[in-house]
Amino acid sequence: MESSLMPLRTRLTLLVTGLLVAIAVTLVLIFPAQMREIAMASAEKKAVAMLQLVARSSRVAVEFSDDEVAERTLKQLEADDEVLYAELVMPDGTVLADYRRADQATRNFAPRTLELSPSEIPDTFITDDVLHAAVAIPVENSGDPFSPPLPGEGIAPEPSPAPEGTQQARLYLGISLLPIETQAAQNLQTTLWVCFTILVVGLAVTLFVANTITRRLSQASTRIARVSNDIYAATQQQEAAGTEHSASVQEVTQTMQSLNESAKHIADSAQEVLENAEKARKTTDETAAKIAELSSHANRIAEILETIRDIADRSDLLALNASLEATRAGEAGRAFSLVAVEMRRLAETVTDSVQVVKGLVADVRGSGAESVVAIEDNRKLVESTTESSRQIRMVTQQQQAVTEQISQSMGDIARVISQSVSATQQTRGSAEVLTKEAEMLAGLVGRGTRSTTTD
Amino acid sequence: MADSEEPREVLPALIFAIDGQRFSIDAREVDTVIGWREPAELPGGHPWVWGVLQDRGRVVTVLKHPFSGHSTPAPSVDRSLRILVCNTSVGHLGLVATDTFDIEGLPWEIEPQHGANTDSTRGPTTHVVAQTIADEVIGADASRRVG
Repeated sequence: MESSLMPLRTRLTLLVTGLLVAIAVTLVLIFPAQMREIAMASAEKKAVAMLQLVARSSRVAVEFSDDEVAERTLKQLEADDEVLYAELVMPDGTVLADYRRADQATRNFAPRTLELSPSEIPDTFITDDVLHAAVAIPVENSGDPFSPPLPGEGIAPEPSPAPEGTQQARLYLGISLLPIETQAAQNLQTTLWVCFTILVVGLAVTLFVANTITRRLSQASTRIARVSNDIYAATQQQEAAGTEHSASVQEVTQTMQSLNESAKHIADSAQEVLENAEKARKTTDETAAKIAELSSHANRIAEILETIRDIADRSDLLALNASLEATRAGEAGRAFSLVAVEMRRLAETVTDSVQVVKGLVADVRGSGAESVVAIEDNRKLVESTTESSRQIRMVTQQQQAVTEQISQSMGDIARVISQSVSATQQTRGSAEVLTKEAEMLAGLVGRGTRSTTTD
Repeated sequence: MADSEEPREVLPALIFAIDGQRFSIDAREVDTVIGWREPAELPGGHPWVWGVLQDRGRVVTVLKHPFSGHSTPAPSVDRSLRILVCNTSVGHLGLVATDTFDIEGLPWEIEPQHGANTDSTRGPTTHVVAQTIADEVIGADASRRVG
């Protein structure tokens, strides 16, 4: 629409200007005319009042056709510069008295130019620049038709109608309308000046207000456009962030699910480790029992070896003593000496073997002791493993519960983010609408705003 | 008795050791070898003497070491110790040995005296004569009593 594209300032200026012109025209057309009418009414009332006053003063003169008194009565009108003339016309048409302002001596006034009978002449009428007023004065009526007005009846009550057949004289009075016309012209001029001043001032004020409003609207539209652009950009970023957050939440949810599954696997593995640890503990106990039994056997073997060593030692002593006896026996004991030597060898061999076996038994016992220590360490390790696997199982179960809670929370967060993204999209749509509104407002105020909104 | 004046070429000697130090003794001086038994200490006895014990009805005087005044202390008591019961003119002497070896013949040109160095199949040995020890013990004991 073309009108909607017209700048607001121009529209506002045209509107106010038209309004002011209408007001001025109205003032010019109405105010001087009204003032003139008021002035004319005032002049008419004045003329009627003066006429009634003069008529009352002139009644006696009319009754007695005393022109001198009449002249003197009319002569009193000199005090008023606006009275142009006054005539007292008898019923027969003769002029009983006549008054004319000094500058109006040669002028023929309306009653004489109207060529009408006195009864046909209206009470008030205007010719040229003169307000004429006429009043009838009964001549043969002894009553007082011009009794003083009662309070509240006004200045000039209408005279009582004359009875039928009564002669009436007429009194004419003319008042100059030039002062009224002059005043009307001055009023018109003043009105024109006032209207012109109002128009100029109104236009100036209108332009100032329009400029102010336009500038503020332009600034407001610029700010709105900027803010809406910022909102648009922010909503775009927020939407992108929301999308990223949604993806992150999805990843976290998947990670939580993986963690949950891993925790389940770990819990299962921990359970298996716990069962294996229990088996290992039983095996360790059995091994420890066997090693204890082996150690007991080794102790028994050591005791037997000690007995064998004692026997070997005694055999060695016996053989040595036999050798001594054979030595003492000389040649006779030589063969016996050889047997004794062999017995000693056997005893020594047994002793050495016993020593070797004792060493082996000692090694076995040492190994058994080390095995016991190792088994004890293994038992502690198994117990520690059992306890650790229990704790791992408990922790993984707790972790499983926590990850499930986190997964639920992630679901809630995802829904919230989705709602936020939807709200952001709505906000972005509103920002677009706001930007268009700002552009339209800028077009209205006649100043363009640069839109930076991008789709 | 090792006091035979006839020269002999081979001496039947019992090789024994005390804490790794080897000694040899004429096997004919050794009556028997017995296992360790704790000798009873004699109050006021000579420091050289460990104590006395009975073996098959005879009293055996057990010495701490074959050599008097030897710096080597008596061997520590062990059930593996052995006592060489030797015949002397004054009774039976007991010599403590941590190890006893074979009886082997030691070649000699001059009869080895107490404390002489000899060679055995196990290496160098110090010869011990029980009668000499008995004489030293009696002499020392007599001198102690006289003193």
